[in-house]
Amino acid sequence: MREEALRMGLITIKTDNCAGCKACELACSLKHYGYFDCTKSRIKIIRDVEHGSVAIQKCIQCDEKFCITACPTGSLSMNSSLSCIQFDADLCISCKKCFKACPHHGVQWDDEHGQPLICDLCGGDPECLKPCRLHGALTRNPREA
Amino acid sequence: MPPAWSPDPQSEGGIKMHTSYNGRVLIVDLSLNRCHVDILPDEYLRLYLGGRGAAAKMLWDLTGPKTKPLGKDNVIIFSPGVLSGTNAPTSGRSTVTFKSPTTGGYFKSNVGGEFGIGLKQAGYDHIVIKGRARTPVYLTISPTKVEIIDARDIWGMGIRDTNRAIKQKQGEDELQIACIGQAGEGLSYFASIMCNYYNAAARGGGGAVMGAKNLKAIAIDGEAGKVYVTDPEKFMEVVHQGQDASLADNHSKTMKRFGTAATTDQMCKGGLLPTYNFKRQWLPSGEGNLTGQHLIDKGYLKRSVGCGTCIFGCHRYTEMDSGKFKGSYSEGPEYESFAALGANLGITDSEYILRANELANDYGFDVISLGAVASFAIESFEKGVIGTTDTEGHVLKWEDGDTLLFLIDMIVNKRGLGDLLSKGVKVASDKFGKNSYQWAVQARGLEQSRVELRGAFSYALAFALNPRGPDHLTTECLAEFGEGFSNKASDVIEKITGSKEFGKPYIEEKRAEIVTWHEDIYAVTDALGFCAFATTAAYGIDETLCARFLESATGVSLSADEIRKAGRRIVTLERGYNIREGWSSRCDVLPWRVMNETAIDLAHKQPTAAHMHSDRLGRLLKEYYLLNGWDVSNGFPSPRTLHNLGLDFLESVLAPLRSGALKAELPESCRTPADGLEVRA
Repeated sequence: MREEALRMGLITIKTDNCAGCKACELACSLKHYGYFDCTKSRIKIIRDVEHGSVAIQKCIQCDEKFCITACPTGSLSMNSSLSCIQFDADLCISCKKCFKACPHHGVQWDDEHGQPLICDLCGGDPECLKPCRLHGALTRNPREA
Repeated sequence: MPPAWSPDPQSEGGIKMHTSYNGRVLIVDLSLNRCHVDILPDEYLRLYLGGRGAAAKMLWDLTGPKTKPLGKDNVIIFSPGVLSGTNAPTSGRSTVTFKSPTTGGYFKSNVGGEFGIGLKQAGYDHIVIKGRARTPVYLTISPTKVEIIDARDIWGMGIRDTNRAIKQKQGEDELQIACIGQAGEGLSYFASIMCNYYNAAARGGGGAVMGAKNLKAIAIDGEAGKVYVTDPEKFMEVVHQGQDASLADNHSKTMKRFGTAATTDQMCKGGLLPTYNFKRQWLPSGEGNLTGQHLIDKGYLKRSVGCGTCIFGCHRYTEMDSGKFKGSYSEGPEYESFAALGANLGITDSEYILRANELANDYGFDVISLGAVASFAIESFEKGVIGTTDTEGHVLKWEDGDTLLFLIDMIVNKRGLGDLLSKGVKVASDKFGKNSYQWAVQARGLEQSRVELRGAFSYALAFALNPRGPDHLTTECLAEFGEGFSNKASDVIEKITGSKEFGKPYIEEKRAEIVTWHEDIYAVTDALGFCAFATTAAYGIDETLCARFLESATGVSLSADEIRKAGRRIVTLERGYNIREGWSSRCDVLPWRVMNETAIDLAHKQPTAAHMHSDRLGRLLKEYYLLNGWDVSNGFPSPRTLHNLGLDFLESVLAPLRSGALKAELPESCRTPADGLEVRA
């Protein structure tokens, strides 16, 4: 199998290991909203069930920070202790520029609230990793652990 | 074209916040082109735990002895679990409930994928389909709209084409589709309902029930819908406990790595793999080709796939990059596909098995019954009951992949004998006569799954009692093997019987207790939406955890004992349904071959397991009846048992049958020339 590991930040993504179960999406939604709604997830699993392929879209805490650069109001900034993007809803004007700017599809869009959804690493204990222990598509980056 | 219908949140009963189960039933009448929403009584959740349980109650209410399984009066009910739509591990499964054309009785078929999650997101806990459309239709369901759409242009398509066509017509890729293929359209008694391409609600002919309703597919667009739980923080805590418990056992890793066919070769060596239509438990060679390891070695395995929220990922997505069937792709083969389409026919060429598995999935056939029908046809040919005049000149042979592909083609196109074979081995053997019942490996109309019962007495008892027929998907007692299976299994045996000593095969003691516990937990598993791997294979999620899940998700507080009692209530209600249909202890039997022929492991040149003779089965059944408060003379739950379970409404139906005031005829599916073999407890 292809080895496609994105070793950036706290979470390592190995798409080939993804079973497409989407437990991460639901866990993310529960953690941040208290209910289950896949369109509220900061991680997105895109499946082609027929041909057994999967793509994982999630903020990988890249060096370039395209979203922060694109944001005209400063609603996005770095959380220096966790090295992830933090979001200030009060400053957001729902222009969607961050969503469009990210080449990694790491910014999801919450249509209901008109806001970006960007992985905040759950304050250091990412909920999405927990159902993925056996699959191993999302694992804690050993360098960061 | 009928107009779209939208639920009115005011009059139709809106979604209650803060619970994962609202008892909200979408009722679609295809004869009248009408939809409405019913709300089930609140107590159903406490009594039947939603899902399979509430569906069994609805089937009891909506159908009866006069209902013809393929008539317009039958209903088909789709029920995600109470926890489906949440992130409870392995909770994405659904139950499909109907009166079966195969058995003539109650039937539930369980299915994974994401269909049930989609339905919960769309705001429904059940769909009940009634009536029959005049011409083929499919149904679309979203949180705001339900539509019945003309499907004449997709009628005749296989599963993959149907999925593609509906997604294109709807202009939407993220649809969860349950549909039938040519098998269901042709009303085959072993037509499956295929969800998300490859997940089959396979057994019992649910596909034929949909076909008879002219319902090609149900497509759900629930993506933007929300599912709530009562106590999100507590729920997350319980989810973590469930994850830990499910992964504590080594079997989880085996399942992830090799899928359900992890140990086919070891089963063969141990004399536990039924081969050649249950004549042997042994293959001359090539058993290593029927394993998950083989899928890896040959490069067929492209991805381990999980159903919604699955923590294991036992499904295999496979492709053949070269060989006779280059370009062939599907999910599977599972253990049962390897066993039914391979070992059962003496076929060990994996290319043929993968190809046959792909065809079964695309036509929408249940692989277990398809393989059973093929082996029945080959043995009938071998014994001269049918000949080349019946088979377009083809010689049907064991160990021959081309025979299998020929038979599949004949069955799906209903050529010659294919039409009769598409009704399953019971109907075919009734027609063939000439002692063919002896090698028709079925009971109550359903072909047995590839499990060797002659040494595993809990399995045998559970198969004999199974309301849908002899298979492992209503109760699977893996713990019977104790430490031979896993440490956790051994612990479970101790919990059930008081001693780990009883965790071994070939003994009769405590089988009733072991089966009863597994039946209860399996019913709870289906009702809550869990996968049986989490509950009765990994033995991770038990009744205590189920109670915690239920409370944090719905606010309904039941003790672990009450959870089990709810499971027992479901099992008893299903039994009651079949008694109303004329079933009794006379139907608690196993296939003739299993009860009358000794399994021979030729590798060891000696019998490894005696046949499951009627005396032994009778003793096991008697213990079970007594343990559960069922009448030993006829297998009816006693009035007191019904009262204790809060099922008094069953008694008004059962009483006249009990007293003999009403004589119910033994249903056709249970009648065989071998009726003399009935078990008398």
